[in-house]
Amino acid sequence: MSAMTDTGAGRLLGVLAAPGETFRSLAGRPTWVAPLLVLVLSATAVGWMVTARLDLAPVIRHRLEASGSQVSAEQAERSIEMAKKLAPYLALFQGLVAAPALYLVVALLLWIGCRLVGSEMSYRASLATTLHGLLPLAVGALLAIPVLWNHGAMTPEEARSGSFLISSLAAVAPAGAGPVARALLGSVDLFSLWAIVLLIIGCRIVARVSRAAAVGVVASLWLLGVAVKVALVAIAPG
Amino acid sequence: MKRILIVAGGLLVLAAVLVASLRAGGAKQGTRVYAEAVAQRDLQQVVKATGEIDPRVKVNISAHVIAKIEKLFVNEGDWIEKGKPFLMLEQNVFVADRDQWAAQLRSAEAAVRRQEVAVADAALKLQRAERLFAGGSFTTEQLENAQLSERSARLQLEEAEDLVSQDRANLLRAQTDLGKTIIYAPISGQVIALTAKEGEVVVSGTMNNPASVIGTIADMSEVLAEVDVDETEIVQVKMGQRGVLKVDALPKRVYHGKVTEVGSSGYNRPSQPDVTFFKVKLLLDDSDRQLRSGMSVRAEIATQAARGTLVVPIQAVVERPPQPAAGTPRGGADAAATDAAATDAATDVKVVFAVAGGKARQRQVETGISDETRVQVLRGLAPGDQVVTGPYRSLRDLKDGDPVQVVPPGQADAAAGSGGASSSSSTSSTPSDNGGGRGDG
Repeated sequence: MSAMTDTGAGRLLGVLAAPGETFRSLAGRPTWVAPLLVLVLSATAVGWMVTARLDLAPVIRHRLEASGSQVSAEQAERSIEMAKKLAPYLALFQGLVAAPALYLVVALLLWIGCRLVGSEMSYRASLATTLHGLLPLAVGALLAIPVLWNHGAMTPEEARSGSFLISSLAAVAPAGAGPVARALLGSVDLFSLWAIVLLIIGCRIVARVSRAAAVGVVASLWLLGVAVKVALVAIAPG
Repeated sequence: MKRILIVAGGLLVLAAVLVASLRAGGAKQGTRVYAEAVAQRDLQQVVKATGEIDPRVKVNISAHVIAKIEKLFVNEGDWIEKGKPFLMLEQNVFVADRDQWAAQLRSAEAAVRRQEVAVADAALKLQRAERLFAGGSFTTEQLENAQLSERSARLQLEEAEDLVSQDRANLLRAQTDLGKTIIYAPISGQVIALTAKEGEVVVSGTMNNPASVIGTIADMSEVLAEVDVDETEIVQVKMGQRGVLKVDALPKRVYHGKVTEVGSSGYNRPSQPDVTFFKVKLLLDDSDRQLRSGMSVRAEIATQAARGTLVVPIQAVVERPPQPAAGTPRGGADAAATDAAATDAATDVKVVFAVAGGKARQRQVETGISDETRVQVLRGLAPGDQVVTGPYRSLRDLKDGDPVQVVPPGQADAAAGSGGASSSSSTSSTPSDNGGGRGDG
């Protein structure tokens, strides 16, 4: 196993099967390109497939009506066509630009959190820990690909909550649950919890902090992420 | 060994997630759609348009003489009665002009009187010359001289009288010009525009010259909403149709009116050069003093109405090639050729997809009027029939006989999460549920 965890590609599987050994290897020689590529490509693929199945027409019609602007049916159709043309580019932007930027920010917050509890971990090590710790999300994305492949048209709320993959508590949400409740339940996700466990292990080993400190830092980050997600859902129009 | 068990357990969990997600995805249980029961409702077709408030009678005030404004008797927004002074121009020049012509007239009248005396004198001299000529004391030449003098005097009198007429006319013109230095309100109304100020010089001109307009008085007792109707809808608008009007500045007030003018020539807005609009005027029944010229207004003109008619959501009606008639033999190359020929020959027809036995059934319908969200169905459906209303992507690709799974509108994610089987039986049929769900979408 140690031979596998010494290579960049080997660490991708190693962190899932033997996280302790992999993070000890990462502490000695941090690498981050391979997990970044895997995360970006999987997120982009899922975003692209979701966009291709997204039913934008009712959303745009609803927003046009809500805005009170006087538009003819032809103009509404033009707006819908325009949105359909732009949606794939937006998916690409989210996958190739926004997602990597988010990973960098998470790594920065993890680095700050670990430094606050006395660690001398470098940002590079924090980035490597974060990206390897988040790899369960790529596993979730890979599972989502065949699910999306077989999926028909998708409503925006379905795409937003990610409930097409039954891996979170959103799957057991009552029928009348609102979007905020769904976002909260959707945050309790198998792959997110897996990532949290890996990040705690990684933080403890790479940053050389106590288990309690690692749990505190990672749990704080997760709660912050949940709060931002719920806030975005709450202020989202329509 | 322990690690192998953990990895194996993890793989099992992942496999379970994948299988459950695939099953819930509904791919094998049919396309997930929204459906709604066909209901009987009142339906009103409206044409929506925006425009602005404008008084029916509006008079531009212009000056007929060039002069400086000495006094403005009103401010913008003031109410003014007909016949009351609107403004006064500087009068000095016009008073002097009048006095000059009055003096000149008096002088000319004196000249006439003087000439009348000269004529009388010449007439006396002529009489004397005629008597002396008859007595042989005057020569013919002397008589003719007297006659010429008398005639010349009369001509000079006529000339003096013409001068009097000329001066009288000039005096009248000067008095008229002086009178034009005070402008009175031609109608009772509100001063909706005042473009000049005291001390400024006004130019005389016609209504075609905007620079000559000093102000505008509007009779706000009769108010029009002038709205721009899209060319695709203008044919529906007729004289006398009723409309509901909402003024942006008065959000709590709703006005009513009827169409009094329908434009016959189109025009383009600078902001929308590729769309042609027609001007439609609605006379408000219930105008009030809150309304001001130029306020933005949104009108909904009721063009047609139907009571208790069958309606479906507008997005439920799609266009498809007509289906072959019942009894047409199918199968084999002949059937395929027949279908292809039929598809080529026939144009698309309006259809809806009714849900029956878990399958979508294409039904040709004849539609009538529509509002923003619903369309009247004249033929092809019965009350209570379930029709597919969305999502758009599913409806676009739906074909006759496709298996469908009905999902309540607005709960698509919940349905996906809880599995397709549990939600397939729940169908929204009440109009209010459907309306709300579509709005969410």
